[in-house]
Amino acid sequence: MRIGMLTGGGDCPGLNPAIRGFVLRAMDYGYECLGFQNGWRGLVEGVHRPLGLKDVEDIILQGGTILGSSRTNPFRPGREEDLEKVLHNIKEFQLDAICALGGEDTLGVAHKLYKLGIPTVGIPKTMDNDLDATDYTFGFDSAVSVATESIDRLRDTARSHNRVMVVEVMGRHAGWVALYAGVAGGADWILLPEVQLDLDEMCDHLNEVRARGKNYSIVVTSEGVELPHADETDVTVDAFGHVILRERGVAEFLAKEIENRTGIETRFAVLGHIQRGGAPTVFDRVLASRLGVKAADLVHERQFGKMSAIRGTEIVSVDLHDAVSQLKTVPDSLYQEVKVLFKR
Amino acid sequence: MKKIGVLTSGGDAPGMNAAIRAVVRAGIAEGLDVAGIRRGYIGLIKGDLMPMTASSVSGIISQGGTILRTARCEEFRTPEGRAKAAKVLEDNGIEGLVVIGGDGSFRGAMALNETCGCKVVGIPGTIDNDIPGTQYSIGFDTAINTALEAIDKIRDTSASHERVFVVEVMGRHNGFIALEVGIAGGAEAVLVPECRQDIVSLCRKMQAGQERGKLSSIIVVAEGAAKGADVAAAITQITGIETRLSILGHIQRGGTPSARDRALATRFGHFAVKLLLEGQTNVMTGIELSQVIASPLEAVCQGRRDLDVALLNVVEVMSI
Repeated sequence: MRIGMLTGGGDCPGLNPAIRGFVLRAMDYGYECLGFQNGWRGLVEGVHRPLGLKDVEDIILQGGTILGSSRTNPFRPGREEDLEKVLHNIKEFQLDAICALGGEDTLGVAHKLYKLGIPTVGIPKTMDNDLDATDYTFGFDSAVSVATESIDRLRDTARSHNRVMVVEVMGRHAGWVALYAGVAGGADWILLPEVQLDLDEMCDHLNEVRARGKNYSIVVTSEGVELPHADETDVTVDAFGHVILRERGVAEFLAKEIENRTGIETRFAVLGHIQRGGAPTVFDRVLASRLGVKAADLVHERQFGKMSAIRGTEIVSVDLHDAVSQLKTVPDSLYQEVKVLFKR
Repeated sequence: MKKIGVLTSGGDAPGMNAAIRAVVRAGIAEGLDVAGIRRGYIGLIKGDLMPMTASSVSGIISQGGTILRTARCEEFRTPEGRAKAAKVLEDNGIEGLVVIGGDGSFRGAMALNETCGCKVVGIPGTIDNDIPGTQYSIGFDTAINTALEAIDKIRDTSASHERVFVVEVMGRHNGFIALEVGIAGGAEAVLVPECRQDIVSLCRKMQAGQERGKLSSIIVVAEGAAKGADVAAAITQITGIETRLSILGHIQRGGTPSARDRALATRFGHFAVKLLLEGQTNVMTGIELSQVIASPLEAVCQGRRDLDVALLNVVEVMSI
């Protein structure tokens, strides 16, 4: 059997261990693996290379993806020829199966291809941790670790200068990174896209924190928090129709509002892409390796249209459809639980 | 001299705590009383002092920031403000003061010396490394290591997506951080305020690199050279290559100080107390060729530390 592999969407730590896990397991079955370069674009353009033991044995510690990535979407309206090329290349290269590593978008394409009769399996990845049908995705733990480390550094300056520090972390629709980094970084307030922004409530709290004698505060916010009166009409979108978030300036807006309302000197930091790179944490390496192995098993068992996932401590298989049909967001009960840690 | 004071002023820098610890312990070892002054010159005016003991500084050598806190103080710029500060020093019997900070803080120290004759010694603490009279200031080594770590992470994404990354680092008036980090991080180019660089030829170079199959390109920009966002936009416009921006910002200021910064800060603190006991004043501790030295504060405040722009050529050669 010959299997095409690709990684799509934003990169994150753990993709390489997952590729490694898949290839090592595929070897047990005597399968041949081909790596397509730069996500679905590689399958459109037919750019690939063989993936053997030598290609993967040293990559467990590497961030990013050795296969490269892109946000190419072969189902993008008006790009029908891309889809034709994908279908053509699958025949041309005699692929018996495709293993796609990615988040909602990449797995969405895999699911649509499966509906067209292409044998596909998926491996879930996203540092946002917002994929349904799996408890955790790799990349998340590494991202949260980087964010927490950064908050630790920002705390030094906030405390030295008696400031409020607003830290913007990744999280478009789901606030998992903000929630975890906020708890681990001992934040005084956390803002998520799932929770309506209440500036008065937050500023009252920050005033009270100051009044009780703590001379600095840390606010952690997701990049995707909805701002009042934000003009969202004049924005750029990518191939999957997502708004490019970096121009919204959530942290900057919040810092200005906090300073105006409380009179406390406030600074902000946007962590950005440092959260995506770096060596994967132990948790992500183990999770990614196990998910990679399981995905190769799924191919062997001809369980197509499925992806590997983790439930509790068990690696299981779930329908791709379940993974991409809805986002996993932070439930309000969890946010309320965390609010206990914001002490006045 | 029976009693000295120590304060931190200006922007915080990793290693300031290590310097405070060294001043306190060296002072106590010499039989001096040491007072910690909170929030820089504000604390000096308000008399916000805390007695320091050997144990009050235990464990702080590894902490970023400053336990004495820091602030800018407008009132201290006025003769009235300085008179208040002089009174506090007199009331508390403080005859010598160690000021950890940058050139603004040192100007304040000199003015204070002029007001009341209190002996003052400066310790250079700024991540920017732009203080003359020393090859290294406290905090610079940690800041460049933090920035370097960030660049290593960004390189993963840059290579995965075949993108150009513009990384904006601190340095409003100079490119010390940018140049050091650019060389250590294998940047394609480094933009510094000291030098005008041509963005078009830079773009041509990057295009040539991409054609040769280069996966990742990183451009390090000192915030004072250009806005990172403008550089990124220009590169996209000229080359058509997808370009992303990362502004490292305040993470460069914090964090556990590196071994070098801790050792440097400790030597500075120790030396500063020695200088006070020798009766010296209006001097700053510095390091040249691994020897601690003292330079007149006057010269430090009037001088300028120049970036070795010839090193930009190293970046150029390494990024072929």
